[in-house]
Amino acid sequence: MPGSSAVVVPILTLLLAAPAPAQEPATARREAQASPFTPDTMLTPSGGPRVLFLRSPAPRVVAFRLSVPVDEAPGEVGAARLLGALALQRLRTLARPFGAQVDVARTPWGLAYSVAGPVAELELLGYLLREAVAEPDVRGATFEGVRRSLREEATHLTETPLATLVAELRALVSPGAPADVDAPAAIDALGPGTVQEVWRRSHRRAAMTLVVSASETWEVVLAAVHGLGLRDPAVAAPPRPVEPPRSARPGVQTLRVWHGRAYATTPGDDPRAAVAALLIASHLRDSPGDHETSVQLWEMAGHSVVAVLGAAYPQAAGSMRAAVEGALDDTSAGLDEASVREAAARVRSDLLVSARTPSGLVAAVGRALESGTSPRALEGRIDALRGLDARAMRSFLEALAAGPPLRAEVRP
Amino acid sequence: MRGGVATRLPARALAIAALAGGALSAQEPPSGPGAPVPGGYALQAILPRTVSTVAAASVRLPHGSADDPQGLEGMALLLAHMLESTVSDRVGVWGATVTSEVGRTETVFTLLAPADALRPSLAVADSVLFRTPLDAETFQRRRQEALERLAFEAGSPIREYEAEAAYLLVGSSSPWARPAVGTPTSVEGLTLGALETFRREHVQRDLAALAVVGPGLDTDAREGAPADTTGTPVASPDTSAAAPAPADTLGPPADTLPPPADTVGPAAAPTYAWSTADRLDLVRDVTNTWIQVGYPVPAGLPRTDLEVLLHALDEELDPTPPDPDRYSVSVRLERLPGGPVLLVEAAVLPEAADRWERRILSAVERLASGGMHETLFAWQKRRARSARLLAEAAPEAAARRAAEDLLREGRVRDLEAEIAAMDVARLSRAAKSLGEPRVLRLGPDLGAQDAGPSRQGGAYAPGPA
Repeated sequence: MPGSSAVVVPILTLLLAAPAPAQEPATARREAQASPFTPDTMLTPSGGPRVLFLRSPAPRVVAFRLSVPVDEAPGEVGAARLLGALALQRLRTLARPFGAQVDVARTPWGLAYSVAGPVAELELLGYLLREAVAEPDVRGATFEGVRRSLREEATHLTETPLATLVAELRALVSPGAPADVDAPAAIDALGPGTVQEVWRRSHRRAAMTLVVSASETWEVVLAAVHGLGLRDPAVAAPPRPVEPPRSARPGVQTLRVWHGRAYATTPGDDPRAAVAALLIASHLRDSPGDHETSVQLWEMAGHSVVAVLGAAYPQAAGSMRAAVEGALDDTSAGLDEASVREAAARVRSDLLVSARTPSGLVAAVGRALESGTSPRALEGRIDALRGLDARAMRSFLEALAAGPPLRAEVRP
Repeated sequence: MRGGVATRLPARALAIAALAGGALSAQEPPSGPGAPVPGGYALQAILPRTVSTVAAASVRLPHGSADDPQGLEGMALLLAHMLESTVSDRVGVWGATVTSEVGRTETVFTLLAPADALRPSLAVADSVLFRTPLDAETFQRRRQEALERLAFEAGSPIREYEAEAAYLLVGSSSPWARPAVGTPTSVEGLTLGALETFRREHVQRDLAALAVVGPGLDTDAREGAPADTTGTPVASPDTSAAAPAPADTLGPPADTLPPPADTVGPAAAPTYAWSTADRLDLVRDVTNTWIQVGYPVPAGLPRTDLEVLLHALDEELDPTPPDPDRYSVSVRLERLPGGPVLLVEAAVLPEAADRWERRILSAVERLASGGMHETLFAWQKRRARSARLLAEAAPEAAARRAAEDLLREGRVRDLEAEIAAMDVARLSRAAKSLGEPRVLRLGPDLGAQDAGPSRQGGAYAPGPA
């Protein structure tokens, strides 16, 4: 860390004064553990953020994922996405000169800032992370440009019957939960003051969780990422009551009938839901009909949701509805060991492949933590897919079907 | 795999025998170390990673579409697709996948598997690639798919462009210029027997390079230690700290080492794929213009120097934000019979074609002039390093590159160190050493373009099998 010793020393002093890592010294643990998902070290320094260190699957690459919970009051809908877009624009500009990988994602819980690059650029990556969560510049053309671009994207995404159907089903699963696309009218109503207020309320060090994948020791990494976000005030300010914008769901013109059924399960990141989605999709693909069907898997706060969606011209709407409504039972009735094992192997492989890089690993663990799942439990669930059989899958499908009937329809 | 050679060999033989027989009903791969990494490859590298959810293996073979028998074009590609399909069918139960790529002179198979399934999956891949007889049903299915694809692509201008681009580089009679996908007639003429013969000749372990990247791999896992195989295991520079390999297995064979950088230049009397410039303009009624500019590269120029040059050119030609007149730009290396060639390809709006051709030529001239400021180049190197490290964080990319390094140079390069060692002078020397360019343009006639002299393109006419 050339040139930064003046900064490093106080940070290390602070760390030494902070609660010690909950586990043994890092060097000893590195020998013993083999699981990529198991944190090497977990720290909760006084004032935050909570930090988890994972060993890097690629020795010369370091990746960070910083998650920040964001609550939007009714009049603030879209502020999180706007904050994310502003941060991403700033990050891309800063990261371009040295080729770091950056991303900002809206999650069901808030925002996740991701930064990855060579270990040799550790200090710059730390700087990027600080900039990612720094106070946004809400004055001038940049803010307007980003808001306009978000609004156009939202308009584009919400004007289809499928998007309307999805939005209605999601609202049934979890009323008040953040939509996967914010309403254009809500984005229009966002002013700089509101966005700044949401940032000030949410981007507090104590609420943040940082997941790191690095081959460096945690002391070195922590020194590079000091000073993230705002220090917590004694009492966190409650969401500011803001007048909600008028509801403005656009009328959707459609020639076909769109019908959807959603099945929610808890906990939110149960990989069996993905296996169920694959099996249902496979069943629907093999079933003839004068209609179109699809299966989607949604991750929502506290829920995994399997949604079966269909579309048909009015004369075939009856058979389409029957196919959608009966998809779960029919799939369950047709299950065999081979198809369950194949689908489970595919889901397990997809999860493992997505976590094969440092960025993918911190994303997997970070998302699990956001949803309240420990890394060990995440690993356990992935492992459990190896033993998943038709009987267990049938029970799972039955449990899904036993949930409340969540259905929606969009008609011509 | 702990234990001596005597223990390892029967274990491998058992694994291969069981798997080749199709007894793959169990979803769970064997617990514990399982089958050892197969040996017998001309070159192999085990690149252990301390932790990883998946592992990858890449097998690179020195044959490609240029080796297709005349009149039976498409053979290397069809064979690769068949082998890929057979391996995928057998290892899919463990969540493993395999991909194949067929180039003009090389073929690559890359396996990606959950870490606990790598060894059985690799044992299956090894068996299918080199031993298991080809399956008649798979042959019929894949050949039919190839024929349907060819029928769908019939008359596609991109296929004509690809053919003309190859003719300009090597002439229309060179096997190198044969279309990798074949023709409807040539693919129709392929038989299972011909594919088996081709495989016996070209798909051999002792011609191939194998690189394996993943967790739980140590020197004991590497069947085929120097004492009992003809292969040359090579340890990765970036993992040597984690699992040091015996000193006598490090580094390439002396006769495969690349020449030192200071041998590049007039004193080294470099040889080139061609010595004269050429250009070809083809007027076609299409909506964009394809441009290919090929520069012959002197044999012996270090690959890292060339790759940094490629990166610099790519940044010059395709910055962020991109030029609004371009559809795509790519910069890559090709190995021609006469030597390597640096190829720049661009698809652009027809009215921008003149400007783009000048832009490509002048970018190379600028880099050759050595005028880039050291600080700017230092930033460029950082971006090149970031791009490589981030891409190779994925084990399949790391394995793929390691196998390529092995086959080309007999060693796995420490790219981070080699890129760091580059300077403006070396970059400029690499750009200066490029030979005379050959330019192809295929696009509509806008009437006002001054593209220089034109000539007719060659036409590939396959002879009888």
